[in-house]
Amino acid sequence: MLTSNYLLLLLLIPFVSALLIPVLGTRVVNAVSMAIAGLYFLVVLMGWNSWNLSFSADWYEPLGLKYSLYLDSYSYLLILLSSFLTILCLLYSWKVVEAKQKAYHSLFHLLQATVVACLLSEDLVFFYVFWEAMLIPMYFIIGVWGGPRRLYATMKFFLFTFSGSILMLIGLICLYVFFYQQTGVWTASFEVLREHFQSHPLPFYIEQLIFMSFVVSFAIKVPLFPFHTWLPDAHVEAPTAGSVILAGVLLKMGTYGLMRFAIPMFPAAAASFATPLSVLSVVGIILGAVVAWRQSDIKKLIAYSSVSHLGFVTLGIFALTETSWNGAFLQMINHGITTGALFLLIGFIYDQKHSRDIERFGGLAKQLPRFSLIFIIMSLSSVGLPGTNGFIGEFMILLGSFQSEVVSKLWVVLASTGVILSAIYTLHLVQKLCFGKPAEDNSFMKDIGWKEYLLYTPLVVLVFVIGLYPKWIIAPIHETTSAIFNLMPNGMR
Amino acid sequence: MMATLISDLQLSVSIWAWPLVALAVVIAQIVFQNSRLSFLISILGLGANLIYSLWCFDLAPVQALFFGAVIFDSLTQFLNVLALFIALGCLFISSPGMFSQDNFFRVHYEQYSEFLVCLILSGFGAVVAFSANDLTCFFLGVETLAIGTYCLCGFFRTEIRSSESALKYLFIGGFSTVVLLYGIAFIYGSTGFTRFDEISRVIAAGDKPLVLMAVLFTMAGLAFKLALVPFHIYTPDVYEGAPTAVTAYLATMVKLAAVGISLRIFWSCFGAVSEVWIPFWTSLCVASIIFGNIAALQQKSLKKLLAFSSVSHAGFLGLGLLLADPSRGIGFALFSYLAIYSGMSLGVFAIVALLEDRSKVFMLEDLKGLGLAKPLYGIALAILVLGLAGIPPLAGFMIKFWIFQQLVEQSYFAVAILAALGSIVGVAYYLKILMYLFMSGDSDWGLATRWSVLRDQIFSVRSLILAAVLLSLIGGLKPDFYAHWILTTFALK
Repeated sequence: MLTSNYLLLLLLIPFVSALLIPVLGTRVVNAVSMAIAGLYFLVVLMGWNSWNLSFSADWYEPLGLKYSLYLDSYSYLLILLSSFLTILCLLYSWKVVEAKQKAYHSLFHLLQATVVACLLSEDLVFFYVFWEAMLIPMYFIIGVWGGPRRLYATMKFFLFTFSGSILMLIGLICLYVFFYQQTGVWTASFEVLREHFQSHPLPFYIEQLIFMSFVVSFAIKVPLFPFHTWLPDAHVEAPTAGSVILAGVLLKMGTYGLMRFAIPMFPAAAASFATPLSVLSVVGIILGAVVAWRQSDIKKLIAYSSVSHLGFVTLGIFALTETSWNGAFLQMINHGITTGALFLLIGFIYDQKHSRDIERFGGLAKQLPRFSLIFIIMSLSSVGLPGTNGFIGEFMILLGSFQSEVVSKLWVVLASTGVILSAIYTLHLVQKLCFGKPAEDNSFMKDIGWKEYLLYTPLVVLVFVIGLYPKWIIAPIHETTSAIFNLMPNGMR
Repeated sequence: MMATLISDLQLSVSIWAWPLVALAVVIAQIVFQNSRLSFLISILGLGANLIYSLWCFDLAPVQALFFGAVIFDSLTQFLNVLALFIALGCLFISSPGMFSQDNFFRVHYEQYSEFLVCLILSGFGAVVAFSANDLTCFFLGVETLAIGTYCLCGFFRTEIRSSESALKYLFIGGFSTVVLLYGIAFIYGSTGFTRFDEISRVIAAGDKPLVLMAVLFTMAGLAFKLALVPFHIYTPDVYEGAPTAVTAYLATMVKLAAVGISLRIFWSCFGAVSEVWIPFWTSLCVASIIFGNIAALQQKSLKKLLAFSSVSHAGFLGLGLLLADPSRGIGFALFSYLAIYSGMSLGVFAIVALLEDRSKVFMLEDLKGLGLAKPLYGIALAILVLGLAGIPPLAGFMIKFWIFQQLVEQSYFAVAILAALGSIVGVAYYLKILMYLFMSGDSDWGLATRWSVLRDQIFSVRSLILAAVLLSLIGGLKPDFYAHWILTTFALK
């Protein structure tokens, strides 16, 4: 049985390695960094099934701020996903990223550390601190190793997310101060605040305002329409590994924040905003899909497809049923796997051809058969073909949303058209890329080798393992979902 | 009579030790004609004073000294300690310029003792100003501070920018002094007293029609010193032209003095009519945060950018002042902001001083590639700049957090939101600095080589930078060490 020190270990390993890597010799950086990432993944795996651990230490005692950590299956699965994707990213970057390797690896570990800290935190201020701190490594990863318009993209990324979160800070401080004014105790502990404001509700409009301050911040990160405009820029300019982490982990922080903090804190306010927010999700689903269809830059296409897919996730969240939440959370994981894999695959051909223009490819199925096979599997998973992981997630979201009491069925029906649209743009991409006549000579391109096998095999395996036998992952998800729903007032369930 | 005078002198050693150090420097210069010796004497003298002040830090009840002219309470002692830190920091910053082999500085090397004397004496002025309990004493302090800074700004007398800076500061400073004096005249005219405690008694007792005029003029005079919008117009030119050590001095010591005296004037004298000045003062502060940041965004010169950034920080200091109502026993946000902001600013200016080439304006572009050529300095500057921007988990975030928290606690919701929006703009230009540091490609960084030959080995500045970086890091992760000191000093909760 693991003790609470395990959480400390989870938190400290990436921090320490981020500090350790810069002092290593240049030659061993890659190996050591990957070894640490692998080790970390094993450490995370060890914690399977031992959630509900907690840890607490004083940060600033007079104002009741604590470094308090709590692990449930939500945060556990996302930490697992993040540590898994980090290994793949570092493996991918091996021999691809040659410039400033120490800083690169150090920043990835730092990013991992801040993400884990954010996922583990139970204290709202502590959460906020790492929610913001997460931006710094990503800012540098995009800005230093990114494409030609990286400065614009990274600035936009930072400012968008920062603007949202500073409003959340005000909302969060309001909660923190109101609690003090009502009880005379300073604390930012989520559980304590939640319990208190459930039994002593604030005036409803204040609840709504604070809820919205949280939602705006999370929605920008997700990103929910109309806050999505930073995402295509950031994705296009980010280095491949940066895109993978951005899509696979950072976007999930937004939906995680909604599920873990914003909605459990103010279920009533959430229900009152369910319709507008789910409409925005549906708009995101359809708009993202249509825009993705018209893209010629492959990375931009996948970025817009992320907007569309995460629209499903937010729809599931705002539908406020247990099934849709389970589906939404599963879809978060799926999206991390599938989109992460797609970005890695695009990165693989981009590194050879230095182009992402969809028109300049074609007929890759003949030249790169193994690549094309994996690409097609991942695309089908992204479409949500039965048998793949994407199907389970989308199905559960739609099923759950259809039973919802707060979201009209009309919106769910409209959302389901997103599934068709996603088939259109994804198959369009597959067709342009893998089939037909090549637009120009691609004969110099090499098919995937052992390193890429190592990269893609686990992802392909996961697609089918989740697609064919989802129970192993849905069971732990459901545990936390039902725990959260049990605490909500009766009208919500 | 004599006995009280002697005991007063004993108590206030840490105040009158300042001019004593200056005197020692003057004598040493006359006898030995050695600038290095003078520097050593100033450092040792101020250092000894600092140690003595910390050693004798006395939390006994308020003591009015010298027949009520000076008040030696915990505020005086606290600000005195900070002032000593700042003066030492500015001396350290000035040292590389003075001791380098650079021709430009050698010309001014002969007069370095004058620089030291001016700096120490104007620091003495600051201490007198914020420890004053009497309008005359207060005005003498303000003038001593101001005259010293005029001389310091024009210290590089052969250089046109330095002279411009001094002249502009002299004119505008002189004008602000007149306005302040006019306000003082109104105070005296309407109450008939010069002692703060008596003034406050009279104001509290009854309706004084002239009090509004007194408040407005005094406020305008103090806003000039603190450089709040719209009284900030002199800052860009003055800050840019002045020697960098002096710029640091203006951004820290003058603001410290202004905050100290405003605290006394507003809360001790005008505490009873707080509803009169609070709306004016709040609008000045909010305007400073917003316009200071917007103006900083437009700057291409690094020192002008820092000048406008100091305007926006002055706005936060002003908000801290607003919250420091002594009757409620809260001033924690203000004092921690003052301490941490000063420390981080000194660090930034120390780096600027190391890099600076006095023969031309220091543009932001000159920072290009510094992070790659000199990673340690790049990282140090990045940490300090992110700290000033208020990005967690650095100390700069904690101080903003406390300001926001107390704003919410005292129900200044709109102010909190406007200040938060203003600080989003602020982040943009701080990020611009990081962009030049790390993301502008490997340009030929001529300055880097020149500087690494000339001034890399200066221990005093490097230790100052290190201290500032540590303050920024530890102050965010474990704020107890300074917070505890502030809390016990002011007997806060």
